[in-house]
Amino acid sequence: MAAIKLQLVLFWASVGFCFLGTFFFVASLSFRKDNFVRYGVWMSFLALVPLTAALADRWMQTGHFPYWGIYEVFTSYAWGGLFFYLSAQTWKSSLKIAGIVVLPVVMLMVGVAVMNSAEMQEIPRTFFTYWLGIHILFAKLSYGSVLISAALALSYLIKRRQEEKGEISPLMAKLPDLDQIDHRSYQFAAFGFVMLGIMMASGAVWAFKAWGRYWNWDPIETWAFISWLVYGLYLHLRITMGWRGRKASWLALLAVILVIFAFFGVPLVSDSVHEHLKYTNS
Amino acid sequence: MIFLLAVVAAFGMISPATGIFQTWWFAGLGLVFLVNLSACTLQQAINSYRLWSRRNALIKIDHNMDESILSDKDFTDSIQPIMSRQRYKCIFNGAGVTLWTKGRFGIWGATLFHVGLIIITLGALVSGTMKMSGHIRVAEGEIRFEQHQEYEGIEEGPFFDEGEHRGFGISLLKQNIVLGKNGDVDDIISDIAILENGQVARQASLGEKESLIYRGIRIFEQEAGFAPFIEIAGPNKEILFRTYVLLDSKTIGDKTQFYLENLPVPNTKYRASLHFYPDMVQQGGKTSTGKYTLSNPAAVVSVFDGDYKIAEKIIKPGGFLDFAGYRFRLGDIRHWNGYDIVNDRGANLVFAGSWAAIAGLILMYLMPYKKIQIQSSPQGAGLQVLGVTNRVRKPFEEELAKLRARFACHPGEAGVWSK
Repeated sequence: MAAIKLQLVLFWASVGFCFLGTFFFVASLSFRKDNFVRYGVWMSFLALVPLTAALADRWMQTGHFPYWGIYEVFTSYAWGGLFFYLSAQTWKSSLKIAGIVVLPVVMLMVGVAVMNSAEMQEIPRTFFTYWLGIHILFAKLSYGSVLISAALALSYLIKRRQEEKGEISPLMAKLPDLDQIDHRSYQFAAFGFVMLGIMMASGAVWAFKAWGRYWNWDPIETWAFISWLVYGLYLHLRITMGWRGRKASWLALLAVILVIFAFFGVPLVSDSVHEHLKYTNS
Repeated sequence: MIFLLAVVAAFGMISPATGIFQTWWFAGLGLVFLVNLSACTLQQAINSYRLWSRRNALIKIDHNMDESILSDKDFTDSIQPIMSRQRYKCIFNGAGVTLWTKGRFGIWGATLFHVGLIIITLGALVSGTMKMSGHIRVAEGEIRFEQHQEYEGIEEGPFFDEGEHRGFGISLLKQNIVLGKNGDVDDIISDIAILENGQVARQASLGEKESLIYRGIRIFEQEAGFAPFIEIAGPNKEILFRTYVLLDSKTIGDKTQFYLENLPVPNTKYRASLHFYPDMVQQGGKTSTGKYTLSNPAAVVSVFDGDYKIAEKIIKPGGFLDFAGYRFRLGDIRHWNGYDIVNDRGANLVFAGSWAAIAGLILMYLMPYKKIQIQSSPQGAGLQVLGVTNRVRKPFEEELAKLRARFACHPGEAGVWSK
């Protein structure tokens, strides 16, 4: 119990920093204070510290990587998203603004996780396989990538609207030009597409080794497949039909909604072989 | 097609009762997708070949061009180090033109990725139409055969050939129970033998997550239970029923019940039912099972005449229940295992396609293809630097601009190609 209490304190601390970060990001747009973005990024780093510590504690407590049950799944995905964002913005500082989408999503996910049961559950033996590790790793990479793609698509739409109105905020003015934002969003969507593909392929290998069927039209796998198709559609429309800018950005936003629904919404409405994603009330 | 597939799949999820994924028209849609994908990939392969081809220049080589610039040894010697430093390789030099490439294999990345998708789709169609999966239960000491009529449940694709059944025997030699730290069952391992013409062809131990592959067929352990020996004798001690019965099971809460309902007593109006407890515990008038192991095996046997219970007794192995002149005897207890047996030729295609697709992605993203053509303008008016890439265009255009500037501004060599 002491371990769970410590984890809850750390998770709530992370939620607090995410809340402050979200506030700074939103304020930077609303009040046109571009230096608030810097504070938002600081808060993101501060949020990552207790989140990492809590997950490490959970890992030690259970003896396995935190992937079982909503409590573990949501917090580890939140960590993946936040880590991916912080890595990406370190690589390209123009990606800092993606925090306006990433931070509230991370805050919400950790919040939902701590509302769920933190009870340790017995894991079926079919889940002890390295294919599952690969499956989960690529799921997290795809999630982080598509979140950033969506954040950039949103930034594109906001900046474009401001440019059309002729009222560009200092923050938006600091961002790269529209073409570059659009291009970065495309790059992250392409990366997410590849990661989603590998996630599905590794999941199929795992299912075949465990049950003799690589595809079962399970709700979560099917919605993940639909998300993958929509990203495939996005890439084809972009490459072959020249979809750029506004249309591509809206499609990137639609696609990320599908991914979030596939990963976290489907277990609410359907039974699935993905037992580790089952919701349980605390 | 991609949009259509996504919409149909989403509809299949929103309305699962329609069973879209099992319909013939969904398989037809997959076939149309395959044709469409193949046609697009063929076109892509032709384009890739044009880029790949050594002699395929970006713009047609004009053999009437003034060749003297690029055939000039000093000139080519001056280009060579610049291009080599940037890891370009010369693939053609002549007729006033030099062609340089980098990451040539990268050209095939997108094609290979799509070929992988074609193989996956083919594999899925093969699975959908030719796959067989069935379920067989085998008690310890029993032999069941991989034949259609031996399966308790079987699904065969419309094009599955009955001759594909291998006919080998499966015998459960022994079931081993692996207990966890807290005494719960951690795994159930079954020692099985595969028999061909009465001879043991293969022996293996299968746990919950393991499979045995034999002659292209995969055998998975899926369930386990108990098989007590039951004997029913008539009023003149004649044997009416005598066999090991594989009990069904159901889990309520954290307890599993093993049972047999409505077993007709031959030539009578009676029916018997049996609830089996491998480790019977009786507490407060309630009977339950402590563990899965056969520590204290016993069964509650009831006999019914219509809806009326005429006899009931708790009996242990070797014990019996007498009713209306008949005797129900419980013998020794064996285990049984249920196996899913799968013959899916499409699966290997799907996985081969996945590897091909991943290889294509690696080529596409890690080996960007670039091709640069440097040529003298017709009638020696100067130099042209042209390029093509399968990667982001803007940085490549910047690279070409730098090359153009570099050649034009190269002080010591300028005269060589401006002539």
